[in-house]
Amino acid sequence: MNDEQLAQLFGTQKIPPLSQAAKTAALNAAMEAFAAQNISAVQAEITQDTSPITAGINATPETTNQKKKTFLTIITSLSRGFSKGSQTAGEHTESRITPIHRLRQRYSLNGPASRFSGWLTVAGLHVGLVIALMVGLTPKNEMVIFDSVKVEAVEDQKELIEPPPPPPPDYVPPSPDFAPPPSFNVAADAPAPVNAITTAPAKAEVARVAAKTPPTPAKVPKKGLSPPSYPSESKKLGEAGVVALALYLTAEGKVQEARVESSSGFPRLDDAAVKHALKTWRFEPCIEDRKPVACWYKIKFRFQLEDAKNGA
Amino acid sequence: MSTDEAALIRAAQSGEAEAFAQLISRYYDTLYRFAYRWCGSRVEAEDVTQQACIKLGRSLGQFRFEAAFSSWLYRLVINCAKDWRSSQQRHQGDELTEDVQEEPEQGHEKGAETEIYLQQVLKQLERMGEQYKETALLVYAEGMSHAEAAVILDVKESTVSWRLHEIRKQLQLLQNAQPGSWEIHP
Repeated sequence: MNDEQLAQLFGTQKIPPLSQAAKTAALNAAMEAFAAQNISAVQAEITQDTSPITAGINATPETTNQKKKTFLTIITSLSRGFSKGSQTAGEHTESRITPIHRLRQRYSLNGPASRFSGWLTVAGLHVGLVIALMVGLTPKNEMVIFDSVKVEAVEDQKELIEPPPPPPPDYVPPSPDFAPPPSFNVAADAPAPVNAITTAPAKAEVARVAAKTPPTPAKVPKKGLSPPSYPSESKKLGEAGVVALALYLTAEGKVQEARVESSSGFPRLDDAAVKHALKTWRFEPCIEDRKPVACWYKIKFRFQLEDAKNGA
Repeated sequence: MSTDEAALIRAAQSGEAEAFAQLISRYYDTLYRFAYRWCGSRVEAEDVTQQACIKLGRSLGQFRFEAAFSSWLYRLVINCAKDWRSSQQRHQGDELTEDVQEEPEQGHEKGAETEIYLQQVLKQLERMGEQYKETALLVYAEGMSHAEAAVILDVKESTVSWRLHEIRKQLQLLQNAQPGSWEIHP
């Protein structure tokens, strides 16, 4: 099969029509996310646009150093601008406009400010800088910003991640229908012999040990088990896998009940194994106290396609 | 990328909700179609598309016009689909097989054979791994060139070609597959 044929094959894939409700829900969710993102961006912009002192106060730990540098740069630039006095006014063409120029325009610092008022402003800003460094950047203020950021993040997580559904309960095989052999104490029923101190406890111990002997597990008959047929659709679709079954065997060795303990991942294969086991199989039963008894038996099937088998 | 599209993206990036709504409406079908091809189930595709839309709303500002917007969107959907799949596998086990099997059940209608084979191919891609699947979907299903797929997948063009070669080889083996058998593991 070449590229062209594969492209044609994929072209035949039917895409089910999208649900209008799902589309509306998705668009609404996207708009909410977009709005939330914009609010965050605007908040960040507002923080940047406020005066250098406020910027210093609101600085987060990550950006504190950066903002300090920015602040110092602004101060230095303003100082230089004022020292040039009226010569700087109107010198800045549009192509040379920088954030510092914008700041100067915003505070009307490009007008014919006198050298004296300029220096006065610079001195004031220096005082502000000292206050910002000493008071404004305390951990208390940083924590306030941190708290608000944290709350937003948690809300976002709630939107995105729904709580996972509870895991399916583990399969617990039901107790067998047969009653366990009644336990009896030989020593209790027996008449007390003369030398009971030495002989009776020994007999009781032997009886107890014999009662606790584990049953012999069921066995696959010597002639083997007949294979279930591989579902034809599974073959076409390349379905393969291992299915584990729990079988409840009667005292005659027949399969009375079959349950899937772990799926192959393909219900079709699981069903084929279960049906075949119930219909055709017969085991050598479990033996307990030399008598056949009903019991559970676990078995795994590997449904495997020939090409995979040969390749393995 | 057309001027109109670029203007719309820029407007959305600058915070215009209307532009963003227009942008997402324009691309929703593309996102859904690709999500469906990836997931193979309508419900899952709708969930993945919704996640992709939310992610788009949050990260549109990160688009730098360095690649086609559609390529950027494909990458977004692939990431969301992978995240979704891994979260589903963690919490609920693999339910994909059940969904995929919904498709070929109408086995008697015309083209059913093709559909069954397509499902077989998709299953094979699933087995081969996500990188093969995403490559095949971009090239064969979305009609991209090897170079375009390489940009989206962030791999070399030769890697895309090699992956497609491997896919063709595996599909050839699949076509020659023999009837199956089973083994007992007591």
